[in-house]
Amino acid sequence: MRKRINHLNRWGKICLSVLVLMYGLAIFADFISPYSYKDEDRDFSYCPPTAVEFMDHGQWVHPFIYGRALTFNTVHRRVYVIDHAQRYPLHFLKGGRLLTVDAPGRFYPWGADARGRDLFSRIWYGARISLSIGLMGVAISFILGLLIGGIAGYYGGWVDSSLMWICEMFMMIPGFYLMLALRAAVPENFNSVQVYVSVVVILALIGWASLARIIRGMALSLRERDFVLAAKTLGVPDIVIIFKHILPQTISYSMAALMLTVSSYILAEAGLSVVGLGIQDPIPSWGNLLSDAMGIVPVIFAPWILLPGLFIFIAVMCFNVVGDSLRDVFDPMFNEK
Amino acid sequence: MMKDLLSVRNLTVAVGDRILVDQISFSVPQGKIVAVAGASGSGKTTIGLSILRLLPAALRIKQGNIVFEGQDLLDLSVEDMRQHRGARIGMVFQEPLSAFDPLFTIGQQIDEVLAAHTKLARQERYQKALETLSEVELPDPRRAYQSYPHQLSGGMRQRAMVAQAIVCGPSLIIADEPTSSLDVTLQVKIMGLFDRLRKKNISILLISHDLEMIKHLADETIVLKPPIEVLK
Amino acid sequence: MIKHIIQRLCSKILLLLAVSFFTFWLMHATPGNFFDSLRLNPQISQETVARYENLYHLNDPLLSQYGHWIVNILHGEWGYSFYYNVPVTHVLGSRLFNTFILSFTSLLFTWSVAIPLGIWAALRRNQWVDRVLSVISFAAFSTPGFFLAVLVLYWASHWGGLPLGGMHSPNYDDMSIVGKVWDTARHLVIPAFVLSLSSIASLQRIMRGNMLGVLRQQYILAARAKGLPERVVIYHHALRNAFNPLVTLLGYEFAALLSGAALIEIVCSWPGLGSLLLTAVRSKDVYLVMSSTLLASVLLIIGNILADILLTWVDPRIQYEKKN
Repeated sequence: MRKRINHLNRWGKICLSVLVLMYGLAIFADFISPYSYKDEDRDFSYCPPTAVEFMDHGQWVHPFIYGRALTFNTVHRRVYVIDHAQRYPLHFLKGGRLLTVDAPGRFYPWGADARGRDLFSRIWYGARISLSIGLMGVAISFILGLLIGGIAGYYGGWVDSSLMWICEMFMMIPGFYLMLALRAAVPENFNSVQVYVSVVVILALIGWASLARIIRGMALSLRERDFVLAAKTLGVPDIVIIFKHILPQTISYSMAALMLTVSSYILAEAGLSVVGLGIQDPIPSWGNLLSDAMGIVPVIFAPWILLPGLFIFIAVMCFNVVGDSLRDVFDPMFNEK
Repeated sequence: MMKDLLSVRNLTVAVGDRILVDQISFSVPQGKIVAVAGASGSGKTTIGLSILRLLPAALRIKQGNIVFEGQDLLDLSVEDMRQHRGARIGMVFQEPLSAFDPLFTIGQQIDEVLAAHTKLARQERYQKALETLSEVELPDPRRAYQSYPHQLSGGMRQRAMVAQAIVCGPSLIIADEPTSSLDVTLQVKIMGLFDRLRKKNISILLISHDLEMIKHLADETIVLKPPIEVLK
Repeated sequence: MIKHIIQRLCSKILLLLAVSFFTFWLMHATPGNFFDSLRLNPQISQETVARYENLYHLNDPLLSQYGHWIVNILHGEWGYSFYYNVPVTHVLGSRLFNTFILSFTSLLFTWSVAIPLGIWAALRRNQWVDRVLSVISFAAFSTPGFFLAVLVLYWASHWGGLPLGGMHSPNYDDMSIVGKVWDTARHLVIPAFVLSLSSIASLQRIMRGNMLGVLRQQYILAARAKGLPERVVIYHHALRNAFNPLVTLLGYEFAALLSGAALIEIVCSWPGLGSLLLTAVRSKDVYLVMSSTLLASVLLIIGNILADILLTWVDPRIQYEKKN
């Protein structure tokens, strides 16, 4: 595996590092965020990002932020006026968090949302959801795909035809429609964990079919190879051949497809959440953070609420680039289509 | 004594620093078959492509003259050279299935050569194409004209390719391994075809590693030695 | 060839039945009989409730209910929308049409932009045009469609030249036919553009790849050896051969297109099948959900079959295989 990573081109390596960084920061969301994702303060609704001050009258001081007071301007629009009288020093590593300020000051590195919740914190807590859902969904799709594709490709004949027929059935419903239909079947009274699991399952169900087809194609050609014949003549049972000999080979080659599937799942979850059918508030996911931004008006006055979109973009782009590089690594060795 | 149709002098082709063709000189008189023989990698195909100036971008003609009908082809403009190709010099490729565009009929592909080089009207081009197809002894020229490349057998395809090469009446045909994808009986037929072309005063530069065929057909033979390479 | 189409149609119909059963089962897997909430709804008369109860045999086992549902569909009875308070068919028709024009326009735009771009990139391989296009393409298909839609709407709100969502202006009904068409077209610009962007990105790369692959082929060398003008070599031979495999893609494009269209419809308030399904799911409007999903699948199948036909028309090798 390490050898494969070394073969990635430069962009592939860069994007892989970015992804590792993102996942790392998501794991440590508790630590790097000033606040919990639920922590709201309606007095600071849509507060702009707070600048950190390093100097006072030309002298270097311990970093602090100014307080902010909410007023309304002549056209009744919210304006936050910086109050130079109030200062809140930034605490380093207090209470298990990297940077915090004492109440009633509020530190918003990237601005606040409608309820005064810190966007920076919510983005990183949301990263946990958005990034993990993609991976878990792919894990399930992949297992399903391996099983069904492997069995179909290996046995051929009517087993293949019927399994592929089932795949076609799933591919026949356009992805978003299938997602919504599946979502409609989820009971309303599910708690957030159950909703999370449902979304993972839904994502897995929309993508397993195309993975299964890819793996089936590979299995079909692999079963003609000599080592399979050798195993058969030695009396090795079919199941063992499939799991020990054929499937491991398909895994490396399907890595590229997997990366691309993760990126499409991240997009799918975002799509589902942005219309309010995915992860529910107050649990943040990048998608539901963006649902605030779906109206023009909030965006004009609080453009920072678009930031989650940037993160989706970065994550998806990195997965795509890594997937593409992996494909370049494996393509000369294996022709699928 | 007849002036030579084609006269190659000191042709040197290289890719980067590696020399593929080293100072090769030979002539092809009118109405004769000259064979260029040698093992794979000795640069035979490169010579053929050099004459037509269709070398891949990485290859360069470092040195030499290629004098055809009194003109040095290497001095010609791109447009003039294009007009020589197909019209004055035709080429027959080794594998006719990959040398024909799979999406167009044989007839369409022969027609476009005529359209590119002659001022004949459509009906005249059609007639000329059919004539040429029967000249190469295709049993049903009309059907061959309307067929797609994959619908013809290997032997028929190769004849069709020869027809495409001679339809504009070139004086030289470059044939790059014309029979290596055919079985023996078909090879004999194609050889017969080349012989007939020779009798019509068309010269053929026959590139091949098939020494038997060369023995039977060629008036002269040039044998290439592969450039010396140090193998590790 | 007709026989082949009919054959494909039959296997697709079978698949469609399976899809319909799947959606039916899915809807009825949720606990709670939606008719209970229906009976409690004062806006719906008891006769309507009783009528639909009869029609769908709600007290029978699942398979029998499914059977009745299918038979009803074939008779044009697609169920009742409890949210809109009209039969489903009243709502589906216009929404279907709207999704169709959005998807079709997007398809046209995508292909007319992506193909030339792909050719251009291939002919200028590794020059700056190619590299820039490559980066832009990657960025384009990595951006969530709805996000891009918001960004474009945001920019459009500054520019003021295009309507910001919906399908018709408030004074639509007063317009002449030409006016109506023009008004719809103006509303179509942003959704169609956003929808196309990621497809253009991927299609362009594929066309570029195909073109480069084709240019390496022997028949291109042969075409040059025949002395054909370079533009004939590129735009007649290379282009056709590079383009053909894309037609197979067209069938798969439809799935992505319909899917993407749904979300864009929602963000841009375009009244299509996707936004209909969203409303239906949110209000647990069961028959509407099933019908919309089924209809989307039907659209997909039609698209696939059309793509199949196009492919046989465009590639002589495939026809040949069928004749034999």
